[in-house]
Amino acid sequence: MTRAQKIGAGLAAAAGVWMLGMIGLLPLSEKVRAEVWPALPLVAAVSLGAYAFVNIGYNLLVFRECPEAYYELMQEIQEAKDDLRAKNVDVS
Amino acid sequence: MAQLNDKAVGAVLLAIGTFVFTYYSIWTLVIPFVDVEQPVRKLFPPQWFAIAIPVFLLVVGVTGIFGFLSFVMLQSGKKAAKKAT
Repeated sequence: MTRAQKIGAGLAAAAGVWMLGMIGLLPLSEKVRAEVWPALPLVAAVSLGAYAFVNIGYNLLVFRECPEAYYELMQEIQEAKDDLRAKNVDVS
Repeated sequence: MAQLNDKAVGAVLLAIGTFVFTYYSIWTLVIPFVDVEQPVRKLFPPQWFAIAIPVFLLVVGVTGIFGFLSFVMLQSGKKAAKKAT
């Protein structure tokens, strides 16, 4: 089972449970059924969006910049350019 | 300093994400059980908005995505037609 199939199956199961609650087959208190239950798919969507934001933001915060790798890369680029120029390839 | 700029963007995204998550969770899952007279209710708009705002944003977002998709496809179709003539 691929990952997409697993996620799809989980979503389908959650949707099924939610539908059951909406048509009244689950033992929910009246207040929950009227006010909280219909909003659950939206809660899921908003939570997914917020999770994406938090994930990106956190990774942006903790991403280490590597100055040594930067200098090494610039040097390699310079060497490659010199090498190509020696072989009469037009580089900037 | 690109590094500081990235970190600032990251911090802002993190703050927005956590704030939206906690605020919306309390709004939809906790407030319905709070009495109408309690002062906490004043911090949150009526429940109608808890449904309306995400639905509106979703509709706008999906419309934007499909619109952009159709725009790109129409343009590439025009280019292919131009090349064929």
